[in-house]
Amino acid sequence: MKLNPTTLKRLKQFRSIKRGYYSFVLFMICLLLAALAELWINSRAIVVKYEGHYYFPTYGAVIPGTTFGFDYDYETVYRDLQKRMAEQNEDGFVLMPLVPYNALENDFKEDSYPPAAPSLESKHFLGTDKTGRDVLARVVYGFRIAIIFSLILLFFNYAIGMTVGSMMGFFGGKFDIIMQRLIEIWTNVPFLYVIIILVSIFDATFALLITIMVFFGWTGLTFYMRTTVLQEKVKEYALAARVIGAGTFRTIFHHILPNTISLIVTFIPFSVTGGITSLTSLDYLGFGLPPPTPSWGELMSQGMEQLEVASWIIISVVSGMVAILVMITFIGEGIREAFDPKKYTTYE
Amino acid sequence: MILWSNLLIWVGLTGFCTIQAQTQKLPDNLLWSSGAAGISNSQQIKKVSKEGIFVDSWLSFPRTLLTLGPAAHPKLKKAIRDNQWALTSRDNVGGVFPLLASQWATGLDKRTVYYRIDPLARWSDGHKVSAKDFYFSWQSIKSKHWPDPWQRQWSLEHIEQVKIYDQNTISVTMRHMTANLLQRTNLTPLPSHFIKKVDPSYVKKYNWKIIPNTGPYQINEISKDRGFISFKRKNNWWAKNRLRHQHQFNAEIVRFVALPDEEVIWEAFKRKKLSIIKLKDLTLFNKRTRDPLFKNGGGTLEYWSGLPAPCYGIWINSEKASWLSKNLKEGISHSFNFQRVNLGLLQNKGKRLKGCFDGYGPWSIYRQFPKFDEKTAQKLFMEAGWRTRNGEGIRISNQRALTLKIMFGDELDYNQLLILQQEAKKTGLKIELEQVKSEKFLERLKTGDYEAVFAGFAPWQTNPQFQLIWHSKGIGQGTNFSRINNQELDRMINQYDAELSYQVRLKLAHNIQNKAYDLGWFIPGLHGGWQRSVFWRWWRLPVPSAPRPSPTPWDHFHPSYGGLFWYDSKLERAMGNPREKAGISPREKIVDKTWYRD
Amino acid sequence: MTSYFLRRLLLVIPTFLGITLLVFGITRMTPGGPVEKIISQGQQAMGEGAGGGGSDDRVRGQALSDEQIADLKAQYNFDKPIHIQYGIWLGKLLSGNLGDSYRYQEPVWDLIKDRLTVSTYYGVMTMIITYLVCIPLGVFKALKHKSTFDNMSSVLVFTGFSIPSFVMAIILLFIFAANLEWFPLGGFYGDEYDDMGYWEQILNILYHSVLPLGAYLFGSFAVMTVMMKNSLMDNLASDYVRTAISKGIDFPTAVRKHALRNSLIPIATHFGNNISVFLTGSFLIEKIFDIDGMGLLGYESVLERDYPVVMGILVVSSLLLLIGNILSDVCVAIVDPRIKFD
Repeated sequence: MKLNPTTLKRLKQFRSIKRGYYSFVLFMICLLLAALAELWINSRAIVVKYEGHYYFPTYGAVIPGTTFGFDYDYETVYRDLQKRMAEQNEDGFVLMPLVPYNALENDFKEDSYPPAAPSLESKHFLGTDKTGRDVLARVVYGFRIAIIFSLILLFFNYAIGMTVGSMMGFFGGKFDIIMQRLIEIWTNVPFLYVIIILVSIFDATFALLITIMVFFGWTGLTFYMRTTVLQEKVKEYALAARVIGAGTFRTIFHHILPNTISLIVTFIPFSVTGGITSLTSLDYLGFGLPPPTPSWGELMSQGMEQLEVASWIIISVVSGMVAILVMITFIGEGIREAFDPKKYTTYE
Repeated sequence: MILWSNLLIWVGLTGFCTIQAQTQKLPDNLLWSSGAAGISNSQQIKKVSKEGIFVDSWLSFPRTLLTLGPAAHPKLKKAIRDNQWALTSRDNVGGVFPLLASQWATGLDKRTVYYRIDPLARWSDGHKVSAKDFYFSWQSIKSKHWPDPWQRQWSLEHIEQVKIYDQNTISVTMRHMTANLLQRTNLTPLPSHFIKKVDPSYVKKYNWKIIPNTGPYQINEISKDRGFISFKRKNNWWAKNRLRHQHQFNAEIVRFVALPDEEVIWEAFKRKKLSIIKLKDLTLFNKRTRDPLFKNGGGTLEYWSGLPAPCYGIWINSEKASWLSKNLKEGISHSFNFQRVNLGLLQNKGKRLKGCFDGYGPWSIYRQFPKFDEKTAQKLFMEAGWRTRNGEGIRISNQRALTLKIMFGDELDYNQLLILQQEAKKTGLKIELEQVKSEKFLERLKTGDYEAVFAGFAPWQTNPQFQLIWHSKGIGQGTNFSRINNQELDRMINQYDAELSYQVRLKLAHNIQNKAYDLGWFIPGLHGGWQRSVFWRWWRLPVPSAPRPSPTPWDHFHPSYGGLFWYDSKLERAMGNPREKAGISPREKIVDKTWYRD
Repeated sequence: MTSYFLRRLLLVIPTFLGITLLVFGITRMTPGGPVEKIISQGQQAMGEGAGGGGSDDRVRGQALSDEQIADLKAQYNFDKPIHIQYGIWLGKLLSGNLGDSYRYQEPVWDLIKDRLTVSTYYGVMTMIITYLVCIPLGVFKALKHKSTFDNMSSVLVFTGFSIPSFVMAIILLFIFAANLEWFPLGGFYGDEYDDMGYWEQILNILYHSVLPLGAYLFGSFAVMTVMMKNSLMDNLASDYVRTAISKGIDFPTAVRKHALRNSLIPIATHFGNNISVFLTGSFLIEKIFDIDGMGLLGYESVLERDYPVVMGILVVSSLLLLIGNILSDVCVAIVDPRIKFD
C-alpha cells in the first residue's frame, strides 16, 4: 500500500504522541496474546513427547487417553499425564501452557470448593469462579470475543451508516429530509428495551445480538457523513468527476469517500470501546451471549454476587476491562490529535 | 426451573349479588367428625412465652396488599393467606384438623361434605363468620370479574353447589366423586360484610386495604417510607384457647422489613435489627458463620426440610428422541455425573433423588437410578453400535455424533449442567445446552420443541399426582416433559384419580411409578434439602426444630407448623451485648437431620 | 428564524408519533406480553412452598380454557388489531391519561412522578458539578497547554471517560463501600432517616449519594473539559486577542475580558440538552446502588412487560429529548448571532 504524504505526516504525528502510541503498542500486544490464547491458556499441552513420538495437541483433534497409556478413551487430561510422567519417571515430557486450564472446564478439588482464591501452586493465577473455572482464562477468552464482536459490529455499523449518510448528503432534497426524520425516530427508540424484549423471545446468539445492535446502531455516523459529503460534493474534484460522467455510486465510493476517511478513523477507537461496553453491559444483565461463552459481563455479575466471598473475580475482570478501555481511549485521543489540522500556539 | 400451578381458592376480590340463602334441610344420618382437633402441635414444649418482636426481611417492598394478580408480592401473599383461614387444614401426619369448621361429615353421595362452622369464629373486625361468607366466596370466585382465572376455572369445573343450612352450617358439593374430598371442598370465606359492592375497579380500590381475616395475626402497621409491614397477634383471637395452637404464634409482632440486598440484610442482622436471616448460598453461609457474633448470641441452623423433594431432573423428550434404544438410554443415564455436581456445587451435602416422588412416605417407591459410571456407559454405547470417537472425542455411529441437547431455564440449572456437560465428554456423549427464558420456555414445553429439558415440579403437599407428569393429557399442557404417551400408564393414572380406596390407590401409585421409570426417560437430579439460617439465640426453637412437612422452622403463620419459635427475654437480658459476652445457650449450632432420609 | 423554530416544533409531532408507534408495535407484536406473563407466573415458582391457611394444591396444573384466555386478552385490549389499540392509547394520551400500570394498578403518571424526584436530584447534581469542574479545569488546561498538569489531568479525565459508568459504579462500590466501609452500599437514604432532623436528613441523602454521583460524574468530565479547553485555545489564537495583547493589555485581562466570554459559547449551546437531566438516570447505576429512579422503573417495566409504564416513560423521555434538541438550537441562536437558521 502506498501512503500519501498527509497520511505519513499524520502517522508520524501519532507516533510523537507518547500516551497514544504506547497504548497502541500495548494494545497490539494484548490482541496478539488473545489471538494466541490457546498456546498459553489451555488445558491441552503444547508439546508432548511420549514413547519417542512428539505430539502437538493444541489445535488438532482430540487425542484419547489411551494414546498415552491411560485406560480411558476420552480426551487426555494433560495435567494428569504430566504428573504421572514426572512421578513414574517415564521417558519423555509434557510441556503445559502457562495456565493449564481452558475457559470452560470446571476444576474441582477434592478437599475444597469453588470459588478458589488465586494461587501460584494450583496455577489459577487469578483464582476460579463459582463453578471452578479459571478466571484468567475467562478474562482473556472473554476479551477475545468482545473485541471480535466489537469489530464486526463496527464494520456493519460503518458500512450501513456511511452509505446512508453519504447518500443523504449526496442526493439531498426529499430523500435527505425523510431520512433525517426516520433517523431521528430511530435514535430515540430506547434500544435497550427492544433488546431485552427481543432477546427474551429469540435465543440470544452472536448473530442475533450483532443484528439487533446494527439495526439500532448504524445511525450514529450518518449525520457526520452527511455533513462531510455535503462539504465535499461541492468541491472541484467531485464536480469534475461528475462532469466526466462518473456515475453516482462511483462518485461517492471512489471520489468522495476516500476523502472522508480521516473523519472515520478518528471515530473508530470510540466505536470499539462502545461495542465492548454494550456487550459487557448486556452480558452483565443476562441478555447477552448465551452461556457458557466466556464474557466480562457474566464475570462481573458473578463478581458482584460474590463480592464478599470471592473478591478476586471482580478485581480481575474490572482491572482487565479498565486497562483495555483506557488503552483504546488513549489511542483514540492520540489519533484525534494527530488528525487535527489545528496547531495551537502557546503564550509564554 | 421448577414449575407449578399452585393457585389456591380463597378470598374474593369481586363480590356481587345479594345472597339468597334458602334454608335447606340437613340429611339425618350424618356422621360428624372433628378430625385431629384435640392434638397439640408441639407437646414436648413445656412453656413458651408469648411476647417479642420477630423481625424478618424481604428483598423488596410490596406494591400492593392484594394476593391475586401478577403484582402480588409472593412473601406477603403467603403471610396474608396463612392468616385467611379455611375450613380445615392438614397436620404433619396427613390428618385433617379444624380451622374455621368445628365438625364435618361426608354425604352418602361421596361428593358432598357438610361443615359446621365454629360459632366462636370471628373476623378481625369482630363480625361473626357465618355461612353466607362461604357462599359469597364461592359466588365471587365464579364471577367474571374474579382476578384469578385459574381459581375461577377450577371452581367452575369442580364445585357444583354450596348450600347454606343455617348460620353455621354449609355443604359443599363437588361435580364428581373424588379422593381427598375434604381437601377439595375446603373453602376459604370472604368477609361479605366488608366486601359488599362489586365493580370492575375492585383491584384498584383494594390495593392498599386491609381486608378482615380470621387467622391469629392481622396487619397493624404499614410503613412505606421505612419499608416495613407489621403483623400483630390478635389479643382476643377467637381460636386462642384451642389446644392445637397453644404453643404456636408466640411472637407479639412479626415484622417484615424490605432491604435492598443480601449484603445490607447481613449488616442489619449483625446490628440485631433482624431476628433471623436465611442464607441460601452455601459458601456465604460458611464464611459468615465464622463471624465472632456466633460465639456471642448468634446461632446457626441447618435444617433438612421434611417436605417431599421436588421432582427434578433431566427429562428426555420421547417424541424427539425416539431413536434412543434401551441401551443407549441407560448409557446416557450413566453419563450424568450428579455426584460431581454435588461435590462441586453443594459441597457434597445434597442428595441424589430416588425418583420423581421422593419423600411421600408410603406413596413413594425408591429406586436406584444409574450412577455416573464411565465403564458401564462406554460398554452400553459400544453395544449399541457407537464404537468410534470423532475429533472432539464424541462417539459416532453412521456419521452421527452422540449428542443430547438440553433446554434449561435458570442460572442454578446452568451451573449444574456445565459440570454435567464436561463430565459427559468422558463417556463420549456431547451435551449441548440451550438456555431459554421463562415465557418462551413454557411455550417450548407445550409444543415439545426440545430434545431434553432440565426442569422440575415443586412438591405436592399430600400424595403424588401423576396426571400432569405422565398422563398423555399433560403433553398439550407442557407438563408431561418426557411427552410420554402410553395407554397403559394413562389407564392406571385415570384409575388412580378416580379411585377412592386408600389401599388400592397406594398400590396403583407404586405401579405407576414403576411403569414410568421403566420407560427410562427420566434422569433424577439432586435435592439440596437444607434450609440454612442464622438467628439470635433468644429466638428459641422446639426440638425437632419443626414438624415434618414444614419447609422451614421459621414459618410465621402457617396454621399447621407456623410460629413455633418463641422469644426468651431472660436469655436476651442474660446475654447482654452479644458482641461482648460469651454465649450461654448450648444450642448455638443446630444441625437438624430429623427428617433426613437417605 | 421564528418560522424555522415553528417548523421544528411542528416536526416534533410526526417524530413523536413515529417513535411511540414503533415501540408500541414492538410491544404488541412480540409474544410474551402481559397475558402470557400472567399465565407463566401462574405456572412457575421457585423454592419455598406457598399456600397456608388450609389451602393446597387443588387447582394446580390445570390449563386455562380458551374462553378464559380470551377474557384476559380482552381485559388488556389485546384482542383488537394493533392500530386500534394504538388509537385507544393515543386518545387517552391526548386527554392527559397515560393509563394504569399492569402491575401496580396505579396510574402510570403517579409512578413516574414518584421516581422523578430521585432522578432529578441526581441529574441536577451531576449537571451542576460537571459545569463547576469542567469550566475552570478547561480554562486552566488551556492556559497551561502542554504542561505536566495539562497532561496528568488529561490522563485522569480520559481514564474516567473510558470506563463505562456502571463499571465505575462497581469499582466505587467495591472499594469504598464493601472494603473501606466509608459509604453505604446503596439506597437513597438510611434506615434512621425518619428520626432525623432536617439538616441531618439532607446530610444523610448527600452521604448516600456520594458514590452514585461519583459513578455518574467521573465519565462526564472529559467531553466538556476538552470542549472548554479547545474553545478557549481557539479564541486565544484568534486575531482579536492577539491584537488586544499587542495593544498592551496584560494577558490575564485579555483572557478574562475577551477570550473567556466568547469561548463559553459552545458550552452554552450545550445547555439546551440538559433538559433531559430529569431522565438521565442510568438504570445500571440505579440497579447497582439500589436507587429507585426512572431508569430502574423503565427497566423493570420492560422485564415485567408492564407496557403502559414503558410507553409512559417513552412519552416523557422522547418529548424531553426532542424539545431539548430544539432548545439547544435556540441557545445557539441567542448566544451567537452569527449563526443563521433557515
